[in-house]
Amino acid sequence: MPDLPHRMEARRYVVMGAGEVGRYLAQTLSLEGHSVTLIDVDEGKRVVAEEQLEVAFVHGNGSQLPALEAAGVAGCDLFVAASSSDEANLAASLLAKRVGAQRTVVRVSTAEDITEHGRIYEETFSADLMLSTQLLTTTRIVNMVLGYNTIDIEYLAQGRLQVRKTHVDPGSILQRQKLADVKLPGNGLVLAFISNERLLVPTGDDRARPGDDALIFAPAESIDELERHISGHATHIGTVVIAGGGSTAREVAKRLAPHVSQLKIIEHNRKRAEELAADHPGYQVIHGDVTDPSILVEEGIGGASYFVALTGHDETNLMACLLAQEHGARRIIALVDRSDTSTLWRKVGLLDVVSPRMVAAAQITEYIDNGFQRSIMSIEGGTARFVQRSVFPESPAAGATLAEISVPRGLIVAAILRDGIATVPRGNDQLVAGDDVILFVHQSELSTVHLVFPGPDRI
Amino acid sequence: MNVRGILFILGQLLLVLAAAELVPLFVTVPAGENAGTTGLLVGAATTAGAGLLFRRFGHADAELFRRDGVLIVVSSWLLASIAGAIPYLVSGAIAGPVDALFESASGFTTTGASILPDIEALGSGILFWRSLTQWLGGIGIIVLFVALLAEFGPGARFLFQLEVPGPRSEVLHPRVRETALALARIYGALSLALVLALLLSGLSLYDALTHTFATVSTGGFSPYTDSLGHFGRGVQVVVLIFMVLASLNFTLYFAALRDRSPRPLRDAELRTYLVLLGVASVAIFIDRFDAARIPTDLLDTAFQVVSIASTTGFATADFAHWPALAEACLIGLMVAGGCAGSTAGGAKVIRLMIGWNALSRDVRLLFAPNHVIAVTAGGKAIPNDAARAVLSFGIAFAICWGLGTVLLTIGEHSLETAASAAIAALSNVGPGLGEVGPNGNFAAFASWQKLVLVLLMWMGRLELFAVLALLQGSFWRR
Repeated sequence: MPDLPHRMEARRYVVMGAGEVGRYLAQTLSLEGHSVTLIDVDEGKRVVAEEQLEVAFVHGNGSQLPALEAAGVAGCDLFVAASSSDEANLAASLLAKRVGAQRTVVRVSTAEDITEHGRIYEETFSADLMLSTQLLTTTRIVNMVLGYNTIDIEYLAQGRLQVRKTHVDPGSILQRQKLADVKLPGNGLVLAFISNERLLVPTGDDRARPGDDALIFAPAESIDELERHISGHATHIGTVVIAGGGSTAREVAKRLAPHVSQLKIIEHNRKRAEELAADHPGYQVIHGDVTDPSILVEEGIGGASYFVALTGHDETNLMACLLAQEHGARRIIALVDRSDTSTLWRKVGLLDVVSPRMVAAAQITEYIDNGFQRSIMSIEGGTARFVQRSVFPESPAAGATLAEISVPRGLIVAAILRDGIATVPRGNDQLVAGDDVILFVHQSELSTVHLVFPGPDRI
Repeated sequence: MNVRGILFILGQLLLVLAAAELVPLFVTVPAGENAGTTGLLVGAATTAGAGLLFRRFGHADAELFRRDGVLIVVSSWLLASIAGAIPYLVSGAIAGPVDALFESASGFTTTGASILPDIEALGSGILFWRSLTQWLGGIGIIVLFVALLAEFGPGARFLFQLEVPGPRSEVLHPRVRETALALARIYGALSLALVLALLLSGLSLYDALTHTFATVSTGGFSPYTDSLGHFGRGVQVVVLIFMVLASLNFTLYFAALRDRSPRPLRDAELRTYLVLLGVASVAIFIDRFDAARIPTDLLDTAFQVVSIASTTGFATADFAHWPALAEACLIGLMVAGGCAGSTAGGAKVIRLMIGWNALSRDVRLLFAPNHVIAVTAGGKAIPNDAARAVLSFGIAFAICWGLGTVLLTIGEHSLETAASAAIAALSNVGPGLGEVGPNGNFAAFASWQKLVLVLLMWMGRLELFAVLALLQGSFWRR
């Protein structure tokens, strides 16, 4: 993380929810010398907060005004709603903004709230950043399995489009070839390279330099293909066995399913297993106890490329992972709730552990470190951003093909939304009045947007 | 059991039927067919009288429960068949009451099986009534009734489910009446399109109407003994196309019209059905290959395959004298029938798909007992109880066919005749093989066997369960 000037001055943070995310966050921020107040409904958390974490504690419901006022939300630099209840977090964010919090971060549990409805929630509940532990965890696990280097994902147009910040490996085609020579699959785009915290909108002659990240952009259904192409990890993945069939397992399975030859999910709850089998007839759903060696052996754990433990119980996950290790699973990934035990896991040889709360807390600290800019595009604070505009009949772009519109280098027509379908256009695609366009705009070109696409911002 | 509520609704229904019996007067009166006119008038009067009597003892806004619903649906089809038989009897067109009931039930259930050796002898007016019964029965008596009268409250959705064929019942519209109207509109539009197409092919209005009634309802009664062989190739092709259209799921048309897109037509059941038609056509064509008759055989084979699979039962060739493999294919198509939610009979293609997948699930569980496998159809999971109901349906269907076959062999009828007659009645196809082939008829059966056939047609049209419910002792106990 860069040592930016704003980290030096003491800030005031209010964190709602003294669970793992809240506690970890409070501790980190407090150690950096900032003033932190924790709000929690459980008075029992007071001792930990005041004595171990050195933060102020307010007993109360963070989605109600008295607690927010007592915690001094008015004028605070950041309010983080990280309790275990999505509804309380959303309501708290709205209230905190009304009372005078400068910014709010809201944690929600389900991934869909972000991928499809994120923008509506953000607007409705005045949240500056929404994050889902489930989504972050899923991204981590998919990275591990598919060999991707996704650092962050942002969802546009109700999840129909994705932009990913991904690290460019030394072996990647983006380093080996000029962008003009790289044949990108599907209808994907490389929007920018990021090196040394600087964002560069590339021309055909550019290529990624060692250590660079890239912003890649494509419709949701083809972005995985694009990322695989760039990551250079085109190796085939055989069987993936997932222990547990909860919502995180579903998200992971959904992302992995197109890329693996066989997907097995072991779930001990009969009803849940049946629901899973009904929703996804393509998965192999097995009803059984993942800590039962005979089940693992019968399902061919020895030949599995990956064993992913997502049962939601650390003890079960640990037991299952040890068994999988014993019976020869090639790689093992575990979800560990209690982040303080992760060293223990490593001691027994289970190196790939993901702690959802740590991931969430890391995302929030990164947001803070970036000067309260969403990390994906805000390198040094708003170097580039997405703008959605409507194409009006009188607009110079209406009726023209992309090649005909002379746009400067820092302005990319990334997608056209027409009749509810999002496409990434090519040079000979024509813009029609009534279309919406998603533009990727470098800061230096923000003023040109008005000339080509007059009208109000849609994002 | 809410007897008064049931009586009132059945009374209303009889009044609608009485009105329908007046329609063929437009044919009998100008043609001077006095016997026909008398028969229809007496039929209408008796039906209306019975209806008024039912209403008199019934009560309008009585609350109806599931048992009442079952009884209404099952008895409405029986009453319709009885009411529809009166014109045949009174006009003297058909002598015996059992024969008249057979012909009437065959019409309403859109079976199209006949006991008549000489069809043309009935006179154009009575034949028009015979055709009209199929059109009324094709869309469903209750559906028509709900669309016309909106007499029911929310309970009507259940009546609907009993009558609209298939294991799935999609909710087209939150209001039952709107759903009924939507189905009726599609049915009406198909009918209108076919009437126009047949008129353009050179048929008279009478021929166009009667054959439209028989085609869109997948009934199969023709006013001519030689059925569709009476007309040229062009007419046969038009009818072939509409037999296919009538045996597809009507809710797909509804969805396609609503979404203004052909996407809903990319349905798994529809595709399987079309594949089935194609495979059967090729197999039969090869089985009776004769280089000298290729063009005629192509059309005849396709026409017969579609006519049987859609459970219409029109004939352009005497398939009762085709080679054994071809006949076996036709029997298979009779069992399968058309798509759910159409006017076709049979077990329905979707049930075969679900049944097959349920079977393969159980086979897989033999060697992988811990696996949890959903029964799917077209990639979508079918709830467990729905899958189980499909298997039960299969068993019930097999039992009815088997028992029917045994009963129909009595009296020196060949097994081929008996088995094909039973499935032709149960699947509402019409003609079978052997004595009951397209050139034969059902007259040779004893009276009690004709009643067995009526029972099979009735059970087949209501897809077994509603009729079987009446056999449960607990149905009649509180």
